[in-house]
Amino acid sequence: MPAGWCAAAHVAGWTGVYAFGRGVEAGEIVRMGMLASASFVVSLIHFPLGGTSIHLGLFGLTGILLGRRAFPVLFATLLFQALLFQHGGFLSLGLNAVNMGAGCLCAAGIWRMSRLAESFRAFFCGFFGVMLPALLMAAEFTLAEYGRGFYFVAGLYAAVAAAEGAITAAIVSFFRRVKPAILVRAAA
Amino acid sequence: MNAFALDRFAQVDSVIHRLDPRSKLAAFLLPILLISSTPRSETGPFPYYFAIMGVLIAAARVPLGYLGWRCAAGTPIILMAAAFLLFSNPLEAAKPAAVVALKAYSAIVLVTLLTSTSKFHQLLWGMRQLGSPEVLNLIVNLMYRSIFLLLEEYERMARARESRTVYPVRGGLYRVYGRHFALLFIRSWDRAERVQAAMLARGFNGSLPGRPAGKLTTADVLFAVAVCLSFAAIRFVPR
Repeated sequence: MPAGWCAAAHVAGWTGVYAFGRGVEAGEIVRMGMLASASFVVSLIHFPLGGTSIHLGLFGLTGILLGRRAFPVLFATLLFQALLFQHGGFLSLGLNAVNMGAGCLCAAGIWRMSRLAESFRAFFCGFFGVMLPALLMAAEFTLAEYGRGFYFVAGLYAAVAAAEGAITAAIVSFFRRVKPAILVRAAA
Repeated sequence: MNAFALDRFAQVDSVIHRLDPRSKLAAFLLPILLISSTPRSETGPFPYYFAIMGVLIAAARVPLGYLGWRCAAGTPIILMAAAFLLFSNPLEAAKPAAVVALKAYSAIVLVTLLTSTSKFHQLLWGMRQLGSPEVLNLIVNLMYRSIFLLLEEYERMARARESRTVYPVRGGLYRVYGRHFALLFIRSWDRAERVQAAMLARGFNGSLPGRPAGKLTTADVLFAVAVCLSFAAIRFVPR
């Protein structure tokens, strides 16, 4: 991607961290750190899908559990990944944060739609949590004239997004049965 | 995987290891932006970029094998990115694809040098001093301390699942995995409550204590300026 775009996305990303991380209380921080670690660990696990395997992003679940605090948590996860594993790239950190953060925030918004049944909400949180970043990335690469076929690839992501939606619904269902308190977080 | 494997070369002593983390953050991250701004049609600057990196690698005493392993780990993603260009325009895309790959490898080398010459908590301290938000530093700090614990937790859960699950699973494999991931989140939540109570009992007020910001020495400033100017000269001075 053009260096200027990456720099602009960095500005947007760091601004998002300030904006969505403002007013965090001491008690919230530990929960945010621990859930960030759990998301990171789950994202390392390869999950069978069809004849191949994928690893989950769980952007939808992060949005459900943390609301708007999901943005700084996601940024921290990407920064950690870039520094320690050199995965994702430091320069593209801003772009990745904006794309994936949009997925988390979209999921947080869907989760607030109380008229929908919880299992449907959870599925759509998981689905759009992945689909939105994939579409944003396809749009960015197409606008940057990097190549062709990105929307086709984003379309293939629909299968991954459906799997994430199903897993997110299963996770939320388990929370409801075993630890409903985890779904009742401070309004953020 | 464990914490010590990730910054094992941060224990080495070299002239670069002794520099202030703020200087190293500027010296190793700003050149990534400069290198990335190199037009896709130009491969000429890269031998010079890698020559400077070679000097930094030698000064930092980071083993080439370790750098090679880091580059190898990123190769599948880099090849995929380069392949996108090649498939879209095979006749004209060879040079741009090569430039994309060289930029990516340059970034890997520079970030590896950064993380190999500073302990992780020093990097976080340096970032905080340079204006990084406190909440980000706290989250990354907590992640660094808890990720390996949770990995071990998940490995135990996976062993238990494999040894006690009767296949085919009623309700499908997705549900089993979903419940296991949910259980990991629940255990993380419970652990967070215990850690939070312990930290609050010890006086945690939302920020971690750290060493006071000292002045940068002449060596710190000269190093950062020299490295950035070298890369900038290669990037912008016409050859």
